[in-house]
Amino acid sequence: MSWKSEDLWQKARLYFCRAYAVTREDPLFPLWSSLALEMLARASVAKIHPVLLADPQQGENILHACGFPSPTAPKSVPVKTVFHRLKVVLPGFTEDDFKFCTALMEMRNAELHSGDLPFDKYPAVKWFPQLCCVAKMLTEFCGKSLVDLLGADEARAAEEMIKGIKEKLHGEVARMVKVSGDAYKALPPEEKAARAKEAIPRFIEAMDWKSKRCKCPSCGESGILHGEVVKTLEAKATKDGIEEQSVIMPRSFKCIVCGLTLPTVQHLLIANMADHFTVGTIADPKDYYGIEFDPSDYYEEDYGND
Amino acid sequence: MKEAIQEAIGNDGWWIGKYTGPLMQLAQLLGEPVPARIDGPLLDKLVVRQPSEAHRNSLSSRYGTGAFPLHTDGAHHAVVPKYVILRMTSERESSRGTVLMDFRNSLDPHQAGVLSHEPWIVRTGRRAFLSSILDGKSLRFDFDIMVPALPGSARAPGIVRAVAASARSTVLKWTQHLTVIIDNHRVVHGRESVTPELLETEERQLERILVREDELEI
Repeated sequence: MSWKSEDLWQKARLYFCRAYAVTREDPLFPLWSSLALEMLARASVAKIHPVLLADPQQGENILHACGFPSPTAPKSVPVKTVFHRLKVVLPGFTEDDFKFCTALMEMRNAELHSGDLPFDKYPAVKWFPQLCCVAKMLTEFCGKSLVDLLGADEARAAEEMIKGIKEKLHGEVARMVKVSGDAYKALPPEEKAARAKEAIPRFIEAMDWKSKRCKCPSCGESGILHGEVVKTLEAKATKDGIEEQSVIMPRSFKCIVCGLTLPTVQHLLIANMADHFTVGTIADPKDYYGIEFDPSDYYEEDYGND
Repeated sequence: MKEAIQEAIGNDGWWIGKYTGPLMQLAQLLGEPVPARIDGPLLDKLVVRQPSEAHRNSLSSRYGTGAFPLHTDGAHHAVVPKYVILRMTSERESSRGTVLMDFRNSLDPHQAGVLSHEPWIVRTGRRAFLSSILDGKSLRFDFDIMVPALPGSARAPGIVRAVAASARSTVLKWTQHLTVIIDNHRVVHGRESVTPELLETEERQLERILVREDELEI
């Protein structure tokens, strides 16, 4: 059983060929496309190393991934785990991409394992453009192009769809920023001052260690970027304690003053607010290593003149 | 010598000359020799055989003493060897030529696009895997082991037939020590047939080494 990235990518290409061999309205189109997406996701993870596809419950699976023979049929991780791992290994693969992909996989499972017909009358416009975006990202991660994956004609059409999604979102972000900005400018000065004053305690309450203060593109006041941990760097011992740094990817933005909300990573990317940032924490070595001791065990008995 | 060989290969797709030194040394100049068969020798001795004398799964078992169709050597390998080195060891000149065809350079961009994209199933005996005929910089071409993965809609077979009918080719006539180095990622080769009369007195032994390029693309 091959878990090699190249073999999986070739399978993805074959399945896309089968999808394109039917009309967009045919239920086989989303079915083959979803199978292709799974192959592409597995190919991307396997590009790091095939062992990332091995079900860790049995050691034989890991040995198989490393090229050793297995006495039993090797088992790989479920597709949802594959998409989880993509969030870690592929910086551009966001939570929104994860949700989209797993939703499509659930429909695929319903199609294959139940009496339901989830792909019947399922318009391609609802899912295909986003699948093209994800497919482009994954195939490029595998060192190939959309042309390699889909052929010249279909790749050209896919690029048009990807461009269309980006243009639609650009317009949406620009409109959101303008609407909030215009509404804020129209406020009387006393209202603006009151909002700024109220914002301070609300700000403190809303912040957590994975968030950061950021200038609002609408009103210019301070808003909050909420993020999620992408990576934790190796802990270092410093004179103050054990320092741990975490790389945070912004996921959403909220301005407490004017109310502008940019809810997804894609919105943040367009607003130029998606740069990852690093947060450092210092921990007491005793707490970091989970050491339990009674300090009094290390003290001499109290002195007395007796 | 390496530069002269690479220049000739760059221009024509092959280098032809007389070489009497150790063939393995020539091969190592170009890259890493690899066996044609798993657990096989690095240097093969190729003779014309009847099907009954040939390896069960081979061109000889299929075509016997007749012509071999155009192909690339090592199309069943995961990484197709870059060079094929052949040298005639028999003393007597052979009437059975080897056809060399500059396949890849004969393709127009549309044809190259189709051959780069359409998936084929490659059946090696032990396993099957998917590939396209043009695979990055490589060429995988052997229709005894490759079939279109989507036979109903495949355009590649028609393109291959059209190109094979018009591509630049030459026929190599073998004399002792004549050596050819073929760019196996660009040129396909095949074997001519001979008349029954010539077959009776045929003595034709070639040495062959397959060479993988030094820099592997993984």
